[in-house]
Amino acid sequence: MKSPALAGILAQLGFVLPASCALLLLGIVEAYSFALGALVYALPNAYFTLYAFRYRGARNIALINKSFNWGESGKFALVVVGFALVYRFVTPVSSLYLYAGFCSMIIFQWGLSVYLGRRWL
Amino acid sequence: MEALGLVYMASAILIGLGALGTAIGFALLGGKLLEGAARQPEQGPALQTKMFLMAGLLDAVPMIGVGIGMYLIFVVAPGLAG
Repeated sequence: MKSPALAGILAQLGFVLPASCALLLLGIVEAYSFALGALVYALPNAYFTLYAFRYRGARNIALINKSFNWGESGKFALVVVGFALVYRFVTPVSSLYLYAGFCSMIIFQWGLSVYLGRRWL
Repeated sequence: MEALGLVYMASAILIGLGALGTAIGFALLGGKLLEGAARQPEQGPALQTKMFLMAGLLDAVPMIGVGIGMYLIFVVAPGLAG
């Protein structure tokens, strides 16, 4: 895998898809709400990872710093837009499962960032 | 109407303070990265890894705040408006 952002999003999708399929037992609204919540975090996070691994080496440390800031600002904005889009265009949506998907991705991301950091740097 | 205004203010404060917290955290993190890399350039990649890890931990709480803010705006506020 060449890009850490791509590897990250594939790992996250690998977690979300089985979890959403399992939630189909509870209902289709719960399943897609969970998947959407996870995607609202996973897609902006891939954007951030893309920026975080854009430059390497001590010579580029100022650029690394700058791209971390850009990536984080973009991630924050994308999460806001993602939630707004889900609430505006998806009805019905189960807020409980939406936030369950979102929070599970945050926890999953902690482990994933350890792996990505070790694998790519 | 007053309750609706309070809900919007609460979500604005949640999102705004979350963004402010992340900005301060990233400023400190970036400053330390520059300091560390200037002192020991060979440690640059290791510091970048650690910064990536810390960034993941740093933005978790503000992101949850954003989620709750969006919930207040799109679910609680329309319910109050009737």
